[in-house]
Amino acid sequence: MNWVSLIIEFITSFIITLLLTIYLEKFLRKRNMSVPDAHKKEKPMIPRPGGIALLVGTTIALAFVNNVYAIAFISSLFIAFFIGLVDDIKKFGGPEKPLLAILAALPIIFLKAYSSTPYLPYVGHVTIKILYPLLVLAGFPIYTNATNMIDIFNGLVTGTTAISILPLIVYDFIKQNYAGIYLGIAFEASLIAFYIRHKYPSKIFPGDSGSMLMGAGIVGLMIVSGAEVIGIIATLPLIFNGFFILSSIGGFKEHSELIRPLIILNDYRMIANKEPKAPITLARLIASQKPMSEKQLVYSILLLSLISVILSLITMVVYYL
Amino acid sequence: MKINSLVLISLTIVGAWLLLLLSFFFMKQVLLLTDDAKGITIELLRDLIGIIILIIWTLAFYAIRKFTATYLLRS
Repeated sequence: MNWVSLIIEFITSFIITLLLTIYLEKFLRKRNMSVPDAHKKEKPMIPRPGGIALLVGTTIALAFVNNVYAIAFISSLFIAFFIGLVDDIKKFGGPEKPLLAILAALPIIFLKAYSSTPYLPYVGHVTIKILYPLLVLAGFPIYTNATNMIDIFNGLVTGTTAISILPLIVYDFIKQNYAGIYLGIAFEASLIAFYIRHKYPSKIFPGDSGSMLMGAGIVGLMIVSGAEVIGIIATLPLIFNGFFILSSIGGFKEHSELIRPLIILNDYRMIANKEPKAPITLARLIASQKPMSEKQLVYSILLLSLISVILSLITMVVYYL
Repeated sequence: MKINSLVLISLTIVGAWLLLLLSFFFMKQVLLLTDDAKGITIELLRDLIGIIILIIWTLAFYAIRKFTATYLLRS
């Protein structure tokens, strides 16, 4: 393994993403492409969508990695990004977005950047020829929407994604899976750089384009690394949040049709809405006992991500090594 | 005394993790039972077990949602 090229890749991805994010903040603000931050007293206008910085940073850092996995991964990120960008500009209806997100799986499928013999705890490598490609197709809408649905507070989606992919990178290093290492490092560096500006209090929002790109990045990395189970365990809070919302409201619906899961108090702390028809979200469950600030809610969900990552690392040590 | 919401959700994550591991243990046992199956039969069987496991996960996640929501929001 070439450590120098890995360090250069990390620094390239980090610096390009950070500089581009700072530039985008000014660029988007000048063009009035800002939205109010609803959870702040002053309702500051925050520029969006800034997710393109993640796409450009990761792509340039991977420009010299010439293999089919990198091409498939970047293509998936592009497709997810553009679906999200259309949603940023002209909102999609309920089920349109998840259906379109299936397109992001196609580069992985057509370039055969997957192995249909995943490693499962207890079982070992098992060939699942028919089901596996279907799971790849399903994985992209599931994760792009899961990241999209958790993008409700400052820094949350970026922080959760950055934490969740750590076990996949560790796994790639242990297994000497070079394709996964290069993809993971470029993506992680870009996420860390973006998090610096997206964290509480946010200077920029990723938009649907950014959050969907992050979901595609998680599932793409899981598949290329061949660490599907480790990835699923590391992303349990994302899966919980998405599943809880969809199962409580009965499928994909537009935001305007939904009752707010949290009530914002006069001091801008938030408490769970006790209305039975309100969607069940992780934030609503966490704020069910006492009012909490946005910052407290963000750190609570990041803590849940950290717990999941520890569980995935335990799984890796016990069943994979 | 009521359990803190964050602690309860953390416990459900640990519970979901144990369930995932248990489902793979179940898969291994079924594959051992059908050790003599060959060719197309074993390939279809693996896909079938995979589908059953996904159904079990969905039902379990639904049960977790019901339990946590009832405990934290309805009481």
